[in-house]
Amino acid sequence: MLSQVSKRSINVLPSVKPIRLLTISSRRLQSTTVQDKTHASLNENLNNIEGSTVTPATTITFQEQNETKPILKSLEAIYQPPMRIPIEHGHLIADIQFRSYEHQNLDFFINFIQRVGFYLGIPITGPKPLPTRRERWTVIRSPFVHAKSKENFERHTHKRLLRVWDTNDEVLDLFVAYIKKHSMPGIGMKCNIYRREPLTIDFDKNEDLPSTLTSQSVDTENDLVNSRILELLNSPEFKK
Amino acid sequence: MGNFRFPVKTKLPPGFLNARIIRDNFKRQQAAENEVTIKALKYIARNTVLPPKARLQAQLQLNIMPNYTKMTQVKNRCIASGTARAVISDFRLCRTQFREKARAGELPGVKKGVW
Repeated sequence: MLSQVSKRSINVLPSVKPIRLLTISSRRLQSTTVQDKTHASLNENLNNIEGSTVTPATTITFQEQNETKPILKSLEAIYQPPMRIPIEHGHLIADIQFRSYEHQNLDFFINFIQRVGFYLGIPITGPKPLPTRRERWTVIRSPFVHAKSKENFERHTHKRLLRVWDTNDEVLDLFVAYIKKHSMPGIGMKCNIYRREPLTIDFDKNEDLPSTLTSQSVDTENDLVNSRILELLNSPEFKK
Repeated sequence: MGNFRFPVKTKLPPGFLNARIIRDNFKRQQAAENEVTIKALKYIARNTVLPPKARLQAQLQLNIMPNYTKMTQVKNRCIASGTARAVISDFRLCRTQFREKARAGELPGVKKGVW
């Protein structure tokens, strides 16, 4: 199913770009041919001088080869915006938030992640730019007095949101692990994963809902204080 | 404050050291240690349901506790110079240290503000 989806979306996308690429490469080749010609003439001169036979490399045949050779789809995709897989079922699986102080690296990394998602067969929407947090500090310039002269500093925290849809838990785990492995310095990541559980309660029978309390959600600090209160009240000083 | 003694042995904080920093760190450690006791005593002293004798006893014990066990004695200080004034809590640095480090590019993401 994964391969089918990816195939389809590849075919849907236009594949016109390589023409431009080829023109650029041919132009480059022309320039190289000119250089090579000079080289060749030099070689000829050398041959004339030394009287030995050296065959200069023929660049024209190489150019012909390049025109006939098709460019790989995966290579072509690098020059285009990341491809997307359409959402089929609309099940939101995870929200991934990225944060960084610089947006260049952030956008680059998100581009990479979108590509990873595409090749894993995951429908991803975004990146949705979330409001940038601007922190500002105004401090006095001098260490002592002269408080009229101040200096401003600021720090912008850029945020982006990617939403993951219609994905197995295993594939999502793989995806997150891969992102973690290839994470860039200076980029923070937060992943909210939504997991669905089957409905096991029969509401007609008035069954009690399962408790959402876990061992972590119990207030340990209050327990400590409570036990201390009892200890104090039972101590001989308080029993006088 | 000149004749402050250290009645209990505590660990020294890492980084820049200064008499005032050591003293503040000592207070922090002591306050953390006695936090549960103080909360319990305050609960007893202020609970009107409990017998008045127990409440009075709790209040007396609260009053006996030394000052260094109270959170009100703790003051934020610059971790690089020990200054207690104009400490920017985001970086735990005073304004001069913050400015120097920001200009040197040692604080990630902090730039000269232009807006």
